[in-house]
Amino acid sequence: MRSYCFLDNIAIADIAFEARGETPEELLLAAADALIATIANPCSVRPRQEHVLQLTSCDLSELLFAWLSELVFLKDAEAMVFCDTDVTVREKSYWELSARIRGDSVQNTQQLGSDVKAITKHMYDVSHNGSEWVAIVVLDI
Amino acid sequence: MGCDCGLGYLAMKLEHTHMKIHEVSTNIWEIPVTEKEGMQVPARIYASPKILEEMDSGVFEQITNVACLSGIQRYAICMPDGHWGYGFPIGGVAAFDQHHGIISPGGIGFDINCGMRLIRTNLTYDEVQPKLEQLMSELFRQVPAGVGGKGFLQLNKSEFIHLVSDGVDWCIANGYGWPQDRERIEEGGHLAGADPSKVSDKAIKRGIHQIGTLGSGNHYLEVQVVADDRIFDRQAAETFGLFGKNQVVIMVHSGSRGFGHQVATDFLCVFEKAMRKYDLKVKDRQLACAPFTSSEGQDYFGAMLCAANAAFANRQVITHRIRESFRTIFQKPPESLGMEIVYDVAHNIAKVEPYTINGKRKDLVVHRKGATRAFGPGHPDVCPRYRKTGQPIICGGSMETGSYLLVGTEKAVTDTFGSTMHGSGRTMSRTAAKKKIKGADLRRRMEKHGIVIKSVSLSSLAEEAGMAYKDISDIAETVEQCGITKKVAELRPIGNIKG
Repeated sequence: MRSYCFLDNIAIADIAFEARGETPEELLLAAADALIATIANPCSVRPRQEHVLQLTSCDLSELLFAWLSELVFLKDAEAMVFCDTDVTVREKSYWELSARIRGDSVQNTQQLGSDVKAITKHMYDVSHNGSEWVAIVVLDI
Repeated sequence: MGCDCGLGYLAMKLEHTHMKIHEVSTNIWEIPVTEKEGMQVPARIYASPKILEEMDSGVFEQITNVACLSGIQRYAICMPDGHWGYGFPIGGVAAFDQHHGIISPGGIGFDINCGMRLIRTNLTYDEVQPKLEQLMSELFRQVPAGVGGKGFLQLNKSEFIHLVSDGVDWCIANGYGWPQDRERIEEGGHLAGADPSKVSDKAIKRGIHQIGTLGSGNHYLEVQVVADDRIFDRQAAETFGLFGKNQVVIMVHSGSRGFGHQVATDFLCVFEKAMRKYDLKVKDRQLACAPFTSSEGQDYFGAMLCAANAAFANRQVITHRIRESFRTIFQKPPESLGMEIVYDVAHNIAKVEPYTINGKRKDLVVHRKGATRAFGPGHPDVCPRYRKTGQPIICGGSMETGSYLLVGTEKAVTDTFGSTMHGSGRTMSRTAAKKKIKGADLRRRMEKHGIVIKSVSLSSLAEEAGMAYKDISDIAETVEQCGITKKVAELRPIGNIKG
């Protein structure tokens, strides 16, 4: 099961969250959920556009960073907010992600949030605690 | 708080840090190099005892991390508006030897050349108030804010590359500014050395449609009033075009938008690899750095200067839209409304500036992250119009309270690498602020105080509530007592646009 929560007392100028998942896929989905919800209430965004994305990385930590950074890039390059994502992760000699990102161009009917500038490496951490994957991420706002 | 006068200085025991900190002179506190392994120089925090006590623990960790960076000179400095950021604390200043030191995107921020601009008018509150609602609606229409905001400029890639190369010069040449605007902007709004060949296509794609937009977070466009009794230095105020009598001015806080954010993201990855290559170690991954003279360091510097020029151009195009909004609402040309720029300052940037270190003149790479350049009277880099007075410094407070116009001093140049505060500084995280107040309630409260609010996002509005910030008057008072700036005027908000 995937989940996330925002952290109150970390990097007070910005927004920090913790994401959890039992599998790498769930972790990447949970972290995307937190980022998406920071940008706009996903329930207020209709799935009118879909983007397909493929990424590779040498480890899961860098794959998560690249994945979240791509969402931030799409937000600006396509002037887009998101409602949900599908993710498939494969571990080979490297990590590979295939994703579908659904959302819409920005409309005044949506409940918009913060215009996230970047994913930071401050306190950035991905770990496995025996039963689940946990990530700490600080977003620059 | 404890006191140990036997050591010849005041020492504070702060509950939220284990580090020893002592007062070296009034409102200047030092953490010695013995407090953290790897510190090359002491850390100095400019703060009143009250401000110091209220600073979050992140400031102490982060400023001492900065003190560990290679080639740092004299001190790692934190201003009184300092608070927990990423890499450097917000309010951090550090200068590095140009030949033996580093450059770090974490000492500049993702929002390269985030900065402040102040525009004056000849109008008074009594003249504007009857049309304030109309004016704010027009400004909200003309200056897009928030997520997905697209500017009115439709540029192709070649035009965008010219814009990031030439900054405000491009804007003036294309009809988005007045020739005299140039001298009222730090570095004339055009930093030489910008190298677009070091910028990724992704950065261009992210930023090409965003020139003339505010963004969100703590970015805003604010209409403000200068009351007679809030002018502290009348001569300096008059030099800067402020006459009081409830004069209306406009403040803009924005940066390089997605273009600059992507430049910083791209080079964070480059620098993580470069650190292995140059065997550099840092205490926080966000402090990833490279020797300034290395190919990676120079590539980033060239790309960073492009982003800085894009930010100057962004605030210039916003100024053009503000002038046009006033033309529409007051049916007069902006020239006759006296809509000159007072000044424009960067507060997230690295620049090469000369300073005297141990009696020797050296070029240093000065990083200011949430800190403002503060050159004093007579400094050759202050424009001729203001050279006798010193450089204007624009400091934004919370949207509920007010902002300050300050002026730089010679002491800032000798003590703090020509730097001072940039705003009020947060006391509460965004997430905590949203739990304490609803955006709609905050809007009602501000409207009750006569402040017209136009906001894209109610949740973002709540994050910026006055209670989430320190008292900017305390911060301005502290830097004045330290001698690194002087107060010129306090500016009270009457209308605010937020992303």
